[in-house]
Amino acid sequence: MSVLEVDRLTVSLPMVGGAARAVRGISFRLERGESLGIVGESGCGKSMTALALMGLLPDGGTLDGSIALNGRNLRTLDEAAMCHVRGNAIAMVFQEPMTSLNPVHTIGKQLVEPLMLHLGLDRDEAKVEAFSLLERVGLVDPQRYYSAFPHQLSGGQRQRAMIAMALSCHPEVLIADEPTTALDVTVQGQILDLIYDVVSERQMSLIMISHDLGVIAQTVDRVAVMYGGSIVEQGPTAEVFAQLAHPYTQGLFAAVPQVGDGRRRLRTIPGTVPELADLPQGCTFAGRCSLSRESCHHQVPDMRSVGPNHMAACLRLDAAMATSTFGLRR
Amino acid sequence: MSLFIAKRFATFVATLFGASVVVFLILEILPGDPAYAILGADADPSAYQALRKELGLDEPALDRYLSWISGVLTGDFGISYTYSVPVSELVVERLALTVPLAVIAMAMTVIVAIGLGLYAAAHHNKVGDWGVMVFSQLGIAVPNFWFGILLILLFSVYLGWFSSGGFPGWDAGLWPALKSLLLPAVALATVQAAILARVTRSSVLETIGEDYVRTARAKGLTRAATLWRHVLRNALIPVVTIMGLQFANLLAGTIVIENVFFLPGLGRLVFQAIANRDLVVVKDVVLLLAAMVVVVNFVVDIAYAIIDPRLRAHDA
Amino acid sequence: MTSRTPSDLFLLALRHRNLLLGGALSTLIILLAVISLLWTPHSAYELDVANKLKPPSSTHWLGTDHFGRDVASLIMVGAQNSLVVGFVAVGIGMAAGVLLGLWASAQRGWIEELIMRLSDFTFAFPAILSAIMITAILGPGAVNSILAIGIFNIPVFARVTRGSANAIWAREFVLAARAAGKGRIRITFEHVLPNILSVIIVQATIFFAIAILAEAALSYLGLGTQPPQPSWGRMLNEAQTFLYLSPHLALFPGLVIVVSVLGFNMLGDGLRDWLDPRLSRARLSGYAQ
Repeated sequence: MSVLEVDRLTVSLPMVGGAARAVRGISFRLERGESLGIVGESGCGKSMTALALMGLLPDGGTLDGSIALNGRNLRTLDEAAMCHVRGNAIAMVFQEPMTSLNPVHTIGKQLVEPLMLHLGLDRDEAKVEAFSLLERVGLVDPQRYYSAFPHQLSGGQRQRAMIAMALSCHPEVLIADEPTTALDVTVQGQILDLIYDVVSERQMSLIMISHDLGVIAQTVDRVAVMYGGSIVEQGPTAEVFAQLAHPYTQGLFAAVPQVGDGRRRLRTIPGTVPELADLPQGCTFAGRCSLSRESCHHQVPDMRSVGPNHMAACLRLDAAMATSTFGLRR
Repeated sequence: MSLFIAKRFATFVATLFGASVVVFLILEILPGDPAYAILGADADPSAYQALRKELGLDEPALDRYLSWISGVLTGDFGISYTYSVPVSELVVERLALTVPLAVIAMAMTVIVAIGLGLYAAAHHNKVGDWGVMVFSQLGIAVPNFWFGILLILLFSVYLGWFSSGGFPGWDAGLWPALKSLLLPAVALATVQAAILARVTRSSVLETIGEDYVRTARAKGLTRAATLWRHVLRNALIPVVTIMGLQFANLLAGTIVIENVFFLPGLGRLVFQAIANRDLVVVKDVVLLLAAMVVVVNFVVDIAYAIIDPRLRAHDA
Repeated sequence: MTSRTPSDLFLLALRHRNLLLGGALSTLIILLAVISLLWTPHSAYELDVANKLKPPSSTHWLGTDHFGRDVASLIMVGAQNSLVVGFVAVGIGMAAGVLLGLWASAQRGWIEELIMRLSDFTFAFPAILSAIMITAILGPGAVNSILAIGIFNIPVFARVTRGSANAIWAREFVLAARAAGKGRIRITFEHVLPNILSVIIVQATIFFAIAILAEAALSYLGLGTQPPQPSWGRMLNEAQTFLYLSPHLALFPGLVIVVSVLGFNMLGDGLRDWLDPRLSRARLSGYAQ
């Protein structure tokens, strides 16, 4: 049984012009110890997917489809039961370490909170556990960090503290939403390594959300590419990077500057991400796709197999894969 | 921490000093001759001369200021012109009413306002929120002395639960004394609470949107626990600022409310002093009231540093 | 643009409900005062002891007071008093405060520091406290209460003006004007003042409401407007003596104070939302009573 099984998950958000479907019927599974990367531009629905998994949608947001954790559908749980899942079975690391920690409480106070809540430790036991967590995430001299306030730490140190909090109750699934985006380039690698190490050492499953293909390529077993609220391509990381199937994935990859590109002009995907409240009828990428035909604007493409465990949703897959000039095997 | 407090303390002392100079200038220098101001222009010359001597008006202004301030600092407020008793005696007696009244009213204000503000924020855009906002808008517009009169009308004239004013003194027992302060405190607190509830509401609403609130929820805290442990303290920071400003209004309000309920506090004392042209008492009481405001603002500054650790940033 | 349908107008009105309701209530009070200059149901000054303390009736809509004066007429004439005190007090505070604020902002340095530190002191003296001091040396009266409220308003306006003016001084078009060789005084009146006018107007409206409250409190205490000139605060003071006999006397003056304060407050809120939505939150700190 998969640890996490998401089936046709749809998220609708209230907007000025009516409800917007930020996530539209996405499905994926996550096995124990497996890591999944969700990649896409901002506004593609990847963060909303994470919040939906946590049951923390913004006010007025509604959910459809199912989210099963070890076979138990989280959607049937009431708020109290869901609180027991959050931070305990599924934990999350957020993008902004600067604002995601409460400025008026010490790191220690925020760290013992889930320990006392979920594991039922008393304050002293929780403190001992907090010290070892702080040491594990690389904040040696835990006494100092335990009694420090967030403003006294650097961005990287704060993100380490956030990771310690997420790890505290030995969650089965860790969701990291752009964990390195707000950090200095020099610190990004350290934080990614830390996440990768603790996840493999504890046999946790990881969902790594990023707009950065480099981050995804380094850390995850499988990758899902999201565009306009849908997963357009999904497969083992090596497979996907070897054979980019969907035109959007190809464009995303081409837009990454490569060392050795010289003075070549950077490729970009023409057009902009469509408004979620106002998505086109057929394939959401059709308007920006150089391969699109009339039918693309009317028909929603299904997921089709393009390789071992590798799938993409495109009506023009054959043309796309024929013209593909990108990938690690180029 | 200590540097922060030291800086605040310096401002506090400077403000106190400035306030004392203002009071001295207005009440001793501006009238030209306080002896005339007290006795009137058609005073008997010998009485006038005697009063000048008594008030020490022959001395230069700076000496008079210094002797007044050094007296105040050592508890010697001078002699009341009308009562011929030390002003300190009069003041201590009245403070025993005004201070408890202000403290009770402030406590009521804080409890009611934070309760209502939290409730409104938690029920944002629902009937409860709307009700709190209407109460707030109305409360700001109601003069506290009129509200006091309405309370007397309801609770003493119609229901007869309370007397319409007066103070039995603390010797009469704790309950009778407190009972006579209850309506005045409610009259003072309602208006202030209306303002503070609004501030609390908007501050809580703003804090709820912060990232660390989402973090707390992601840790598995319930909505209520998140509100209590993570939202409230952060939301209190602007609320405390307004509370400090409100204390000045509250103290000014006690002067009015003491007159509505015929309570022998500082407010009544200063009025009788004005009626009797007892400038010595007016000067001391005004300085005392101003000093109380300044002290409370100093306390609020320190409270900040306790609530918000970022203010203590430079302590290491 | 197409012509607006009735439902569009309704939505527009709903969005500006503060402005509309506040404007309506303030206009009502101003109308009361203006009409009372020409006509009142009865004289507000003539005593008619035979008809004293009468409850509301068709001849005396709101009843009569302990001298037999018509309460409705007293309230109408009292509106003049509240409005005049409000206008003059806010006018004093605004004129002096705005000039000080502009000066502080144009000069910076120690002049700004001095003006702002001086305005700090006044927070130690709420309007009632300064009114007490002024009355103690000059005696009670409407002019003195205007002075007290006006002086209290000066630092408030100075602070608001300086804050907004500093923001304007940092803008590019001011820099351009300075580069063009314009002097500080010219820039202040050509560029800074016009740009902060809306902030000042909003502040003035809100402090007008606060001035009405302060005047009522001072008159109630006997420090403000003196008899026989009718004033709402004074009426409440007199009504308190007859609370057991004629409770209605304590009702109407209070209600009319609430209506006018509510009106000007909402007008200020509405003007602010309309002129400068960014200001919406920076307001409550100015409250004083």
